[in-house]
Amino acid sequence: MNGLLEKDFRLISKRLTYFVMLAGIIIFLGFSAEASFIAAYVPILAAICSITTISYDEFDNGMAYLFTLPVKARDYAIEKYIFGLILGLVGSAFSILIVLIIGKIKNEAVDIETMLLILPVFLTMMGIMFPIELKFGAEKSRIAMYIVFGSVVGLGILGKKIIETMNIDLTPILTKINSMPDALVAASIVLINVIIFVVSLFISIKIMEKKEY
Amino acid sequence: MIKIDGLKKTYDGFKLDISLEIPEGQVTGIIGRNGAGKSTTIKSLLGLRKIDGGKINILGKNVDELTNKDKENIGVVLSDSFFSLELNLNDVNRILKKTYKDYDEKFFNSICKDQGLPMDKKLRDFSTGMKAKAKVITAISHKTKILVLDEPTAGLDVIARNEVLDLLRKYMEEDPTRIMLITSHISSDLEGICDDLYFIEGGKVVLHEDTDVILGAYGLIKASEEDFAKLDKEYILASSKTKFGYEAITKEKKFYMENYPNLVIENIGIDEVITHMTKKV
Repeated sequence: MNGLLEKDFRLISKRLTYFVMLAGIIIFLGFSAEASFIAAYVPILAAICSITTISYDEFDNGMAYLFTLPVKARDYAIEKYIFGLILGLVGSAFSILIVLIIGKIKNEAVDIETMLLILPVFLTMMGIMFPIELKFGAEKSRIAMYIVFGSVVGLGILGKKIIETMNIDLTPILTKINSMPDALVAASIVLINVIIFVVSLFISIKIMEKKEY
Repeated sequence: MIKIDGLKKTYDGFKLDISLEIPEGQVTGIIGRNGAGKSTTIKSLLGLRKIDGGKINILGKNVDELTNKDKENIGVVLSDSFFSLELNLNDVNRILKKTYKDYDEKFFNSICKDQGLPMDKKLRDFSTGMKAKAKVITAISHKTKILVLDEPTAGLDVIARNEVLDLLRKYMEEDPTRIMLITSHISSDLEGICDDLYFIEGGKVVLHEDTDVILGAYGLIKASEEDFAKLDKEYILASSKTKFGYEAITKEKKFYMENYPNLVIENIGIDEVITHMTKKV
């Protein structure tokens, strides 16, 4: 497991210039955009970076060799989630730091709370992307991801249409959420993300255990 | 010990049915043409492929039950797979250090240096020979009891091949209880290093013999049709018709030399044995 983490950090470090560039973009966004935008940007980046390491593993048929090491299918899946978690947390911390520093420089109030609510979305992003990537491989998973994310958006629109046409009044639910203590809402949001992440991990373990090389 | 008992695997109309056994201290070779089933056997042995039937036992355990600790005792070279080629040997060194308890960093670094492998060059930019050496050095860098090598010399020139084989020979000499399973389609590689050989063809073992026996007792009989008809076929393994009569492989060269002094009987190498054993009569 430690060996796999070491490998992934080394693979990522091969693209150091790429990451410096990304950090540059985050800093630039920090100056021009709202904190919540940066908060949404970081999870996507963290998820894409961790997915990249799976593509590297698959490239040149590398998976077969990895499983001759003292590594079981389940270890591989768990390691990817740990690696993703590390990237997500580091990315989140970095973006908060940038927003704070820029807030100080521009002498503006910073909406850290909103950021803290959006940043954990990386857990859901990875939770959706990892099993798809592991199941379908680098090439096919791209199509699968379009389908999945497209369906999510589609379902959203459909839901909205249904609510509109059926004249369902969501106000009571929204008022209820609004009346809940902020901390509880925040905790629920984080919890939902964590649950998706953990359930996804178990799905990924099952996917890996079925694979042959 | 490695024991494969009736390993069965069917895919794309190809049927594999293999049994083999490698006792402690033995170097065993699997030889066969491309597509004969060598790599599938190796991958099944390592648990990379699910099998349809049979038993695979390594270090006294079923292959499915091997723990990560057990796997630390198996060094592997795969013909078509290694660490990501984006990495360099420095990276590989660090990864191995965190992967194997018995990893010998000094050994790894010094052998890489001896073999002229640059530590900071991407594996992708390595020549075929350099890549092959890097794979073998990695496999022998963590003091394993078992080495499983699939085509470790494929694509190498004679000199590089001998260098790789020398590394392996030295490794086996260090500890007489070590086991090595090596596949190749180049018989001369296996001739010099293996104690015994399995010939695989069409997913089946067509011959299992000690290397010394093949080189010492096997022979190629060349006979006219008439002579061949009179021949005692008891020790004939395979025969085929040629333009001038028959050619036959025997495992008792001496018997035929003594009883049929007029026959032409030639010494035979492993390549010729394969050629004749796999020839459709």
